Amino acid sequence: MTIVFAGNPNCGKTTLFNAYTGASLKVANWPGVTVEKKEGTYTCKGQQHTLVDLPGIYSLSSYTIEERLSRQFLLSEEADGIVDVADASCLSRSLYLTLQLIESGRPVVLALNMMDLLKKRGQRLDVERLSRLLGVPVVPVCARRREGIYALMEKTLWAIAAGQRPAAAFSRMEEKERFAWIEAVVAACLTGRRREGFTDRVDAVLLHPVWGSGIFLIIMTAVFFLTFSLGDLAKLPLEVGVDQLCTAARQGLDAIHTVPWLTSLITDGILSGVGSILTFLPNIILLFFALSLLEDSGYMARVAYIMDGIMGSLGLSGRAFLPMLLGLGCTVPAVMASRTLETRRDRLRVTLITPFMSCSARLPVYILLAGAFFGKYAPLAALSMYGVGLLTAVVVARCTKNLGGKETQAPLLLELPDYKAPAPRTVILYVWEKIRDYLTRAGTTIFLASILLWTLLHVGPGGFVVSMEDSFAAWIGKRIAPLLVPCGLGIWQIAVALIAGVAAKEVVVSSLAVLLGITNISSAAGMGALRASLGVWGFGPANAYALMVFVLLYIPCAAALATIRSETKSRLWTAGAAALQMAAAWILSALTYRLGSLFL
Amino acid sequence: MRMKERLSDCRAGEDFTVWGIRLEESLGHRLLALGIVPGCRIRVLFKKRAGTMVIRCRGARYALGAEAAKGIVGGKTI
Repeated sequence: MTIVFAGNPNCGKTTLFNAYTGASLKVANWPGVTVEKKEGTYTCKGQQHTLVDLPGIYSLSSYTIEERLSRQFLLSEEADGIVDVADASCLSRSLYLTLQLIESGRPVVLALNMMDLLKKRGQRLDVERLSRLLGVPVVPVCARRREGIYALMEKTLWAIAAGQRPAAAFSRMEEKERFAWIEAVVAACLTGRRREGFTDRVDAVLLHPVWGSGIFLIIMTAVFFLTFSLGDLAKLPLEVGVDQLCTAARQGLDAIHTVPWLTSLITDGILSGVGSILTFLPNIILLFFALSLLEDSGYMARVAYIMDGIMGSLGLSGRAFLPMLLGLGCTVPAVMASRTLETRRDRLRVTLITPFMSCSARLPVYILLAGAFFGKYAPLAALSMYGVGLLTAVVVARCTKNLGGKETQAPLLLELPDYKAPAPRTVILYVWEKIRDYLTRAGTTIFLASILLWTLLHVGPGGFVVSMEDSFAAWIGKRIAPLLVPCGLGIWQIAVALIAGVAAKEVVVSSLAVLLGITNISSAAGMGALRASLGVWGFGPANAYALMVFVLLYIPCAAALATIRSETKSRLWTAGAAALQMAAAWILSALTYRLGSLFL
Repeated sequence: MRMKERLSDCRAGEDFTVWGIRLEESLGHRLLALGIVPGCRIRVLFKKRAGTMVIRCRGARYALGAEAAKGIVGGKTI
């Protein structure tokens, strides 16, 4: 059997799907988290069933991408039964889709989620009566606490087996009558007056016409400030650990008389490269922890309202800011989130500007360079990168405002969910997922990049080289470096690190460690060594800042490019976006270098 | 009967009854799916100077752009 979960955005479909299948798909408290159809399996009484999670929709018409995809699947032969998940706390809105689903003729079971919220508001719902009036089974569930999910599946399988095709009493009604009918049904089943509460009082502060945007700015500054300052404290023990590991490895390899080149590969190549990345884990954890609180509390969707004015002047709706905000974590899901925008023109433009939002992979670069060159102003220097990124995105959006014709922008229309305390399970899963990604990258991309780089550094046209200056890496770097002179980055090692960084931006850090032969580069001693070895070429704070700007803006990582390609379905657009990013990086880093040289 | 007004003329805290939607088709359909149809009541919860507002309709809360609010006509409810 194939059972499909359908329902309004943010009603808990994915939470329910996760509860059945044991999957850990991302859930959060804003509409539009799920943008792709996902499948899983659930075994009930020895029988395996396929469960399908769809993006949220408000109706079965086909005016948005999500609606079209969901409609296609729901009306296909593949779907045996539909679980219509509805948010009990706004029932009358949810029932509109329910009626359409019932009309589709497939067995439908209505799962009423968030009944606890209803109770908290002092209301009561007569489930039996609702079921009788609608003509389909109704099951109250609490997806978050996994209550009622067994009963729901039983009812669904029963409905499918019964082949029940309920007669639709409302199929000939006009839209207006339909809503009147729904209101009558809800009035008959729902008792108690709704108590207005918490969310409106919080919104009165957070959405204030004057302070609202200021509060948002303060929240984001606090997020990054904590990421840098708290993260720095937490990273000390890791630095000691990496240090001890390197020393132990060196001693161990010497003790068993390993050939020098292998010792060098393991310690100077792999351990320096991978180790340098591992020490940034606390910063990454803190950043994603903070972002998950923003997403799961309900604040995320409000940012669209707060930013609507500014985005409007760029020819985009406030909703386009949500992908950009997600971009602070990782560009890949952020570009995918652009799918929820209404017009293709908006989607294309958002894929163009989202990569300028500084993702977590760029964090290690800032922490390292700012830490090494800006002393006690390091957090400020790192923080300023987010401003530079945002400003660049704004300028690019402004310049592309009239691109693709004068198609009018779709105005903002976005549901704002109730605030709720972030669920510990959701937060932990989200952060854990990110830790796993990060460690996986350290173990794969960065591991391989470090080995490759070490090899290129120690091998030249004539075999093993004594001086790195004769290696292949130097040869490549020296070809590129002249192009980077105006940016204050005309050093072949930096050119090589930047090329390697296309694999993943953290690789810039691990490559610098390998290129300059610095073990434990993120420790105080490592940063000192970095300053000293780059200082030989006259590389000072102005150069460091220009490098940070360059890494912020230049071509996004391979994974992000692949996502832009698959979302826009255009090679030309992807190539254009990459070229634009390179140009922006070159121009702005040259500019900051010139300006910086005057002051620093 | 009171004079015809637009939702965009409402201030925060005011109630509004929808008489008609004067918007392009796809946006009109999106509003329809949310139950924002003639006859429904809307409360303006918050409003920014630029006209973007937060409204409540049928128990749910939405952020609504100024351009959309201009296309929703009806009358203020007192």
